[in-house]
Amino acid sequence: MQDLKLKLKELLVEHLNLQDIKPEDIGDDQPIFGEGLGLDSIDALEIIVMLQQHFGIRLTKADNGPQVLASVNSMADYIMAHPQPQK
Amino acid sequence: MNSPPKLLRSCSIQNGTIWIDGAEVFTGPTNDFAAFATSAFRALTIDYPKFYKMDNLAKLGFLAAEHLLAGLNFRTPGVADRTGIVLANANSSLDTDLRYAAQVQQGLASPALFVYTLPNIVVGEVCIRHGITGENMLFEAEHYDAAAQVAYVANLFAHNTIDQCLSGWIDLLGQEYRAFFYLVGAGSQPTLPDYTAASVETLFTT
Amino acid sequence: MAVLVTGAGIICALGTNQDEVVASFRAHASGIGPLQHLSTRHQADYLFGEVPLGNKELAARHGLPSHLSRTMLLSYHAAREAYDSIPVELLQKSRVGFISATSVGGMDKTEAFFLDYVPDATAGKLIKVIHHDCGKHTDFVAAQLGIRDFVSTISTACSSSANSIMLGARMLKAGLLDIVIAGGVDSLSRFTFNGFNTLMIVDKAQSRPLDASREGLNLGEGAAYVVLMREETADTSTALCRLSGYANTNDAFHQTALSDQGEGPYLAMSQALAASGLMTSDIGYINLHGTGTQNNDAAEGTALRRLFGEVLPKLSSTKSFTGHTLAASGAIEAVLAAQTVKHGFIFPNYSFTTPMPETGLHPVQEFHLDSSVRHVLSNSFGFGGNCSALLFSRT
Repeated sequence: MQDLKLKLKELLVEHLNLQDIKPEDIGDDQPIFGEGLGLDSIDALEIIVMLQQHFGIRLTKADNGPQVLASVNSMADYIMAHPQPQK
Repeated sequence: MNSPPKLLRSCSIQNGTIWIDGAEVFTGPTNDFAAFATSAFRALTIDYPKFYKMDNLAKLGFLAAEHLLAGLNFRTPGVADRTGIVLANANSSLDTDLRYAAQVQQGLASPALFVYTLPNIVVGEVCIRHGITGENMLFEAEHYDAAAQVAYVANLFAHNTIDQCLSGWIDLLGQEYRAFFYLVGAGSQPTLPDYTAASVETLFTT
Repeated sequence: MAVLVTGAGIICALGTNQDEVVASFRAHASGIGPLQHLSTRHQADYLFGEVPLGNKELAARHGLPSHLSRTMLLSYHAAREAYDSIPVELLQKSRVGFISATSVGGMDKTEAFFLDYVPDATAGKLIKVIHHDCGKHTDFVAAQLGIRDFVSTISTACSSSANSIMLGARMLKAGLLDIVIAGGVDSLSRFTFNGFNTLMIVDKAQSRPLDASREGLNLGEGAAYVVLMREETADTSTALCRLSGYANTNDAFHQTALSDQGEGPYLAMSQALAASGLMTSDIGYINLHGTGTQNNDAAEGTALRRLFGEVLPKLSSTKSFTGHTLAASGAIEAVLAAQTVKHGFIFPNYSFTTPMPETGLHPVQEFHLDSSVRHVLSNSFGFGGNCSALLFSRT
């Protein structure tokens, strides 16, 4: 689980161009939107694409996106709860 | 405005160098725009992480505007909505369009990148950064036409639509880039040039 | 000095000229449906406002080569209808300008080229990309129509062609031109569709602007141009209407979303009104930007409430019939607004059930005639925060 969380943090930094932030600086439970990492609605869409690309997860509007994407913990929990067949 | 508008200041960015009013203020890497942009941004020492999410055209425009508008505050009623932005460009958002198309080819499609597949997003970024809400326009042309631009902007002043204007040329494709921004408005110093096609053309070609 | 709209041309999902388009509204026949001409792997799942002609047919109608980009073909078609409304003797003694706008340019051809080119850099026909630039269609159409005095292209996303019309009016008032054909064009492309889809603002079903249940826009395509002249040159009796006000502002909030308070839209509408000397109570109908996205309709609704208060004029989003035609939308809706002023046509939303809780706007739901409408407001808001409002009035 810790590997997954670190990987998520590394992916966030890379995909969202968080140039001045190191993965280890992102708290597991830290809210990443609004004040947290200063992410906006476009970043949310970018994360959805990132989850699909790296974990095969397709988040739809029905999946309660805002809650799933709220923090590294919530994303990791969702990924563990929805294992995707390996390609 | 009672007196004709003046050319208040200018900023040029090309070949890894930034000039303000003809004086070199920054030099950075010349071989790679992305490296230059990061280096120029860091030199500004401002807290604006959104910069890193921008595409190259928006970064170029952001940097030029940051230097051009340094020390000026637009976030007051009566100023914000009476400040205009009128730019021209040749290659539209082609640099980003190509990157985006390449991604789609690989079955990816980054929404954050798609956002920049329009040439006027750079105008939006400058407006967001400086709180400018006045008239804003972007023209497409193969070459910079100072006379046409001056006529357009002067017309806005003549009709009392704006009190100041950020105008100029911004283009980027691959490693070829040029930003030429200037600020027009009321100026009391007698040494300031009048806002004419000739004075703009002179600045553009030096 | 008044600027009149003396003629127009239009092509979109609803038809290939003004009469056909109006007839579609009258028959409550939405142009939103499955793709017939563009192919994309998504086509089974989404609906579009596609022009009901393929490139070959469009080209054949005008004796043009069929390999031209769809953008060029659509632009020429609409510009031709507008141009043909100008008396020949007037053209001969006037300085004429052509101002167009696009966001897509020749992308429909370029993306086809790209598919061949990427796996093999020697593949792909370069002739496909020579019309990619935004200005290429403008130059082409101007050349075909013999317009030389002023040719320009604006690219400010979805407000582009409204801005073309503004520029045209200004050039007439400045005495730089005598006749201006102004508007814009955009054609459907996979590039655009995929992009909008990743922003998750596209509805798989018929879009429902202003409805609480709205899920997004339907992409459309088309072209439209208006003919503008100063009042003293024009035939006032046959003119469609007067362009009585206009304004452009920036929302300065986000690249692709409007601020909660709809500041940019509010400023644009207020300034257009102020420029015209009209009051909010003078406006009889508003052709909204109304894309059907959560964000636009909420922000536009808020801006409308701020400006008009409790009592709103009749309003609707014709995008529910045409789809969102991007850079062409400002001009397409300007042509519709001109029709409203001239003939009293009140265009409806295609469907509507529940008002948005925040602003409670009720659009017109049935096409009808209302000859009391003297002044019409038309809104166009583009990515990059670019917000435009045009005001059309009876001559």
